[in-house]
Amino acid sequence: MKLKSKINLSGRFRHRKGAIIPLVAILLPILIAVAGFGIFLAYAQLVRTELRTVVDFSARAGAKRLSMDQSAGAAVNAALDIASRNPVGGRAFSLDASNILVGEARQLNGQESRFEFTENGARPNSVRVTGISSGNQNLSNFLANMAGISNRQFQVRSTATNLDRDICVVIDRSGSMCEFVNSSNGGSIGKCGPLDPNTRFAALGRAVDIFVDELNQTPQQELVCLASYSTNVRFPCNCCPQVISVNPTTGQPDQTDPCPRVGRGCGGPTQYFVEFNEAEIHSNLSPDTNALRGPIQAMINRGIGGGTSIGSGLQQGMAAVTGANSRPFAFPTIILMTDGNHNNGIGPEVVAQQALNDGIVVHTITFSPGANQALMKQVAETTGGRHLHADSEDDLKDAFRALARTLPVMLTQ
Amino acid sequence: MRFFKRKLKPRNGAAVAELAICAPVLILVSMALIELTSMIFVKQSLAVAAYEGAHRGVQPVATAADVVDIAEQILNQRRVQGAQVTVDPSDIPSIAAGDLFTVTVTAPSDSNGIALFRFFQPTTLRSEAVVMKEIEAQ
Repeated sequence: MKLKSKINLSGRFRHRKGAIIPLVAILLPILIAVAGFGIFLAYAQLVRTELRTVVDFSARAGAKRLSMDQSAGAAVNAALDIASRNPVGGRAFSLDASNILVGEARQLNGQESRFEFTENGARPNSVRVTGISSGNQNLSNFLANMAGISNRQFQVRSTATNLDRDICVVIDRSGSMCEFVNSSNGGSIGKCGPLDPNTRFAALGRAVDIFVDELNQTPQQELVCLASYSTNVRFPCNCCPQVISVNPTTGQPDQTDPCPRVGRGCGGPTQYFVEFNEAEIHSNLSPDTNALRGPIQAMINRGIGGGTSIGSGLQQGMAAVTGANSRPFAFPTIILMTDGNHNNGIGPEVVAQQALNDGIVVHTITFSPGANQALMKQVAETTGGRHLHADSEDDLKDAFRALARTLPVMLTQ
Repeated sequence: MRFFKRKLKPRNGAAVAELAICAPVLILVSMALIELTSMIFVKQSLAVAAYEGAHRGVQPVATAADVVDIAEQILNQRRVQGAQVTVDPSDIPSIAAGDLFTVTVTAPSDSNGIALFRFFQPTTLRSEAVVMKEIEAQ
């Protein structure tokens, strides 16, 4: 039995002479096919990576140029230029202009929602680039054909959104802003300058400094303007004479400084008047963010006062943000700040409705425990803005910082 | 038994000889495959490093050193040997918004092969990303 088995075995392999070469002849094409598949996959991944570079940076460049030139044509040209400079598969990538779309990307369902891209749109702020390349771009078709995977195409898409904003900061210069930060009083009628560093208005000045610094760090170019409001106000700032020394004999002032400081109601000669209209624009839209600081510092130096006409302030802000130098593709945005209660003129909730109709987003900041948070929240919500409340100077700085840090140029899809 | 021996005799050494001819071919094909795909891997590493470096470069207050740092982190993680990262122009903060700069990453092929033999002429693998500056330094 054992011998028979061996004989049968020998019979089966009787013709093994030359067995390896046929085997290799069969396996070698299979091996080359597997090799082709492996090389193709590796190379296709490289092509995909390079295509991602082209598409992302083309979209970003297009969005940036859209922001700078406010021109869809310039955006497309910038995207094409970047695409031609970034190679795919060792050669300059040829991007078709029809694969570059200029449109509008918005968060339709709130600040946390995803951006939805719409071609064209009223205020184009985005560029979408679609790159298409075969996986074996510039690679010999031989290996890919061997693996049966030729003509595989990759499509990579990128949307860059440039959230340009034209921002008007509307500040409260009513008398209550002369109160100290930690005070809950709201009844001051105003003071001459210079205002104490612990007053709300001085704290506001420092918070706006933070705001300016933050804006200077953002990639996009914001234009900013400044408006303020109180009520029509005019009061004199008189010298406040100060007795330096008293005659010990007569008890009468011996030496007097005639004007060491000025104050409202002091008995010396009038140095100047604190005079404001109900609401004023202090600076038109400008890329110079530092232009906000000057007018605020001037108010700190000279004094402020009056009632609280929030609606009028909002109207002036709207006029400024849609007026001189406003950009057609930018997001008009208002930051409306108050420390008190609206008590004069048109109501801000009425003006907010007009802002909504004009496509202006109004963010509101209330400062001090006595501020009417409910009303300001209503204004913000009406226009799709945010409402932030601050009890302390640090809170106020955080609020301005948060609003400055809204979204820059970014890849949204 | 005699028949058995007579039939086996011609097979002596035939398979070994054939294998001796075919094995080097198979091994060479396999190693060339490994070498080629590893070069593609290195090339892709350079592309990723250039992309991430350029992406860092468009961020506010970025410098060429930041770009090089990010790119080298990726190259080190992927164990790419002898790579060099250059930024042109190198003074990124002085580039005006809207102008372009290029991040180029290179690596020598002969330092990054993994096969025992060198199948290709030594060359320099290269990848670059051209990107637009988005914000000027304040």
